[in-house]
Amino acid sequence: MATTHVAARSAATGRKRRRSGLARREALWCYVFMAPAILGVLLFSVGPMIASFVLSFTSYDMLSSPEWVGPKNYTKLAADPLFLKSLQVTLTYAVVVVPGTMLMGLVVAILLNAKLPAIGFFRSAYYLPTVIGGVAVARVWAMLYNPEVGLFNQILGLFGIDGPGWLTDERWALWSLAFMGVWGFGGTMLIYLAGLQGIPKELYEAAEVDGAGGFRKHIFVTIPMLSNVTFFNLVMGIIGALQVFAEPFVLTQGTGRPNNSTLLLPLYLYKVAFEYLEMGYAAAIAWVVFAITLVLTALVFRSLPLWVHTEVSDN
Amino acid sequence: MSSSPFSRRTLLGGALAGSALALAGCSPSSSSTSPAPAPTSTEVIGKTDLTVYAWTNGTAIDQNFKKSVEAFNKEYAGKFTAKINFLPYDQYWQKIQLQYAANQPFDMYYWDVQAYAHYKKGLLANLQAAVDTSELSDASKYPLDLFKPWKFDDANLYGIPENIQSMALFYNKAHFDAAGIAYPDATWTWDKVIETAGALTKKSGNKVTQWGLDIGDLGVWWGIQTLAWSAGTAFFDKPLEPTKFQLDDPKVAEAFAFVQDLMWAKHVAPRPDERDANNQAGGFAGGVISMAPGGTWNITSYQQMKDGWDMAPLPLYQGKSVMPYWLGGWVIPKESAALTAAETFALWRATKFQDQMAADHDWIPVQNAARESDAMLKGMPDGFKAAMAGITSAQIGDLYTSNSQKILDQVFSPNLDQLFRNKQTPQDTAAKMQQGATALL
Repeated sequence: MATTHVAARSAATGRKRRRSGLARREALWCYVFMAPAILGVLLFSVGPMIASFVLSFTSYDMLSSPEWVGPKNYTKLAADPLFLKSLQVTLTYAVVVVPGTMLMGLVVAILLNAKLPAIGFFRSAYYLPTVIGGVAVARVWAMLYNPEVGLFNQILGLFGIDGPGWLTDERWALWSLAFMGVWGFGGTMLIYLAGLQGIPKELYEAAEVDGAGGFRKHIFVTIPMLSNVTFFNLVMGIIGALQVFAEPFVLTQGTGRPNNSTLLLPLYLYKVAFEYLEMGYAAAIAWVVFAITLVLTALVFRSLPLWVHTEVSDN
Repeated sequence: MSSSPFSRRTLLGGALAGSALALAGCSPSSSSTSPAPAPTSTEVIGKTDLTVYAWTNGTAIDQNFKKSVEAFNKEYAGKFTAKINFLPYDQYWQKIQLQYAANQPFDMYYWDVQAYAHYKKGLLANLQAAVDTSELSDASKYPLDLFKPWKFDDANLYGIPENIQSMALFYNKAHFDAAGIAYPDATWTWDKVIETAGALTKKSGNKVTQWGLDIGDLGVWWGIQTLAWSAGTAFFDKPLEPTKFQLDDPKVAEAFAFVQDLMWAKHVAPRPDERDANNQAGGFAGGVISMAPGGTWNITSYQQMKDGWDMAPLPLYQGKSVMPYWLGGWVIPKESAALTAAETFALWRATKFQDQMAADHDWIPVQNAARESDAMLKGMPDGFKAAMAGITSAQIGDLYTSNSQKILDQVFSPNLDQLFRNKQTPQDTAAKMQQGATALL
């Protein structure tokens, strides 16, 4: 009996050892396979981020060694009228573009969710602007916005209206950029469309039984059931709106004109870094933009229980 | 939780150390300020394979650059081999700075005012010794006074000039012929230009189909400054490290008002939105504008015009016309890996190559004989000689401070834009520019 017990224990220990050896080998291979990705992230994301954070406390023009200046770059931001102007421009742009894109995306997704002939064509057509690169899109819009020969003012001219200088009039320039931003709602629309197809039909049938019409069904079924999709689109929209660069760069030739009314933060950052060669100051701007993005995203996350419908909360 | 071989602290420490190393690498080495040895010495310093960098200027000019490199290689076969790389202008300076940051500066690169910041950081070679050994220092052959702005320390050249640019009044001969008006010449005043512009303007209904005048390069700070010069003032007290701006001089506001009025009060020149539309139609080269003051670097592109065109000296403003000029040429980093080859190439282009440069008609040679040669004048518009006659008394159209880009971009450009869009009075524009530029000086 004792012999059997010892033998059994010995076999178990052997199995454990074998398992342990196997587990170690598996872990090793796991790390080997993970290593390129981790090294990539460390070298090309984490490393530069830390470097840029350190740089943000220096004065650095690329021509001479960075000089430690402490928090001066950050305190300077508070007194920099161009930074404050670009912050205001960026927030205004985001306040218009993020809800605008989501509303357009939702409405068009609902329309494209209907069973209509050639629906595939319409879905592709509305998604196409998202596929086209920012610079190409901006060139096309520059032509549309041309005050003399552009399509918009030509159409307004048919009604006897003298159209404005869409990109050259300070009162219109940012709105023109924002309109163009909203036009790129294809990505948001696609995600809403996927969300719509996941809503059980029974919910609409139940709503109909309760006497709900088309509009009320969307208010009381579609919108709550898409709240998690809306949450995702909102977070991504905020991040995207704070990073818009190509369109204002092309449309204003990198100037942020007229009178800095289209000087979005990424554009100002670019000018500070690559035109004025104030890399330390530019790094500080980048970290402030990052902090703003982080705070806004955190606020959205904190508000999640208030308006986002999830399976977990239902349970 | 099982322990991992690398703690977060270790990872963070490693990343920080890596970042510190990366930052430590961001430090171009500095060296002495003594002149670089002249290329005539028997010793070759650095590689014999030279890479030349310039920004792209369009197919025709780039091709001529390539041909000149081939000619250099032929002449210096067995001694030096050069090749040329072109970069888009908007990436050019970034690339140069990155090379400096990586302690691997280009062998040599084409000058623009941004390179002055490189001099200020002690990165450019003092080329005076090299220039002194060549005919480039011969006052009978070259306009040496015009080189002075490149003597940043007041004694030594830090760039080797090879070509020169200025401004002129370009005009469309077909428009003048059709209207039966005599061509502009050196006696023309701006009043005469305005009067003629009205006569040359054509309309179809309410739409202007041909503008008699475009403000051209009067829309840029250095263009409008030529008016201030003619009126006896300037935007700053001296182009090299100015000690004060003087945009508060009423004559500056008067020059601003003059240009603004061309577009708004008199409306003989298109307003900014109208200019954008004209530019889409090709601007002066497209035949929709009769007269435009502009830089002589436009000559190459205008050669492709269907209509006949010509040029005249800048019109008289308050009885005087002062030409601006700009030097084109090469700067060589102190730490150039091919110092002798770079000096040799730059000096060769500034001396032996000048006749071919004249024949190519892309750049205007800095050498007097080449600039005034038959090869230069052949194929050039009739008015070229007269337009360039005053070049030796021209004034440099640059601003040399290490933050000149910031002053121009943050202060000059947006305020002039507001002026040209009639959103700001000339007086307010001058005051804001004076205040903003002084704050950045």
